[in-house]
Amino acid sequence: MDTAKYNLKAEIELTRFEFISEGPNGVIRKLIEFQATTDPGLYNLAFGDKNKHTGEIDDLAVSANGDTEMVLATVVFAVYAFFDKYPAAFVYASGSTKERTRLYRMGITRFYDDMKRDFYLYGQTGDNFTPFEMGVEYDGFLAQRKFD
Amino acid sequence: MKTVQELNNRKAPIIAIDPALDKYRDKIMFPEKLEKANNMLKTAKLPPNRHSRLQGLTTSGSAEVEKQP
Repeated sequence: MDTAKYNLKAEIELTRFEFISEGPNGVIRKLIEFQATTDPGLYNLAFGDKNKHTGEIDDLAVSANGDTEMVLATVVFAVYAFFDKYPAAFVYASGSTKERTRLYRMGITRFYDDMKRDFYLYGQTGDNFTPFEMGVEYDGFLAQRKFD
Repeated sequence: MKTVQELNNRKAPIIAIDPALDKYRDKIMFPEKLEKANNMLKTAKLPPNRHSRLQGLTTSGSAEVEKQP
């Protein structure tokens, strides 16, 4: 994966990551959280901007900093780092809005060759999870690391 | 100790551990998203866990980390 990425920082358990997006709209702190869910071993990937004034997280913000590809690459790398520490985990991701969910699909599609080689990928439609296919609209996504 | 070659070939990035982020460890940053995910799980038909024998295990320190001063 040769796409440029932002530098990642994390807390010691590697469930929270932070990076800084730089672009025409200035410097924006972004947070990635892998949230433990009610299903043991399944984590929800949550992602958003940190409001520099309030410190609150806004997962609906569209920062439009002209660096979507770098942001996506950085999130994907955080996923690799998370799975390095939690190899048996599932990671689920779904956007706060349809547009955000489409952004996640863009990320998978953009890095599909690497991701398909390294992960079992699934797309969610309603209650069902099926192997991920490009060009299909999904409600969410699920991944598990491959070890060959 | 990993060689430079091994480090260059890694998929996982080298992560800087920042103690300042510890304040987030016990805090849910996106509670609505977690609630949405948990609601989804109530009825979801998940695919089989291919690593069920590894469940609950973490690799100790396999992600290359460097501590921020």
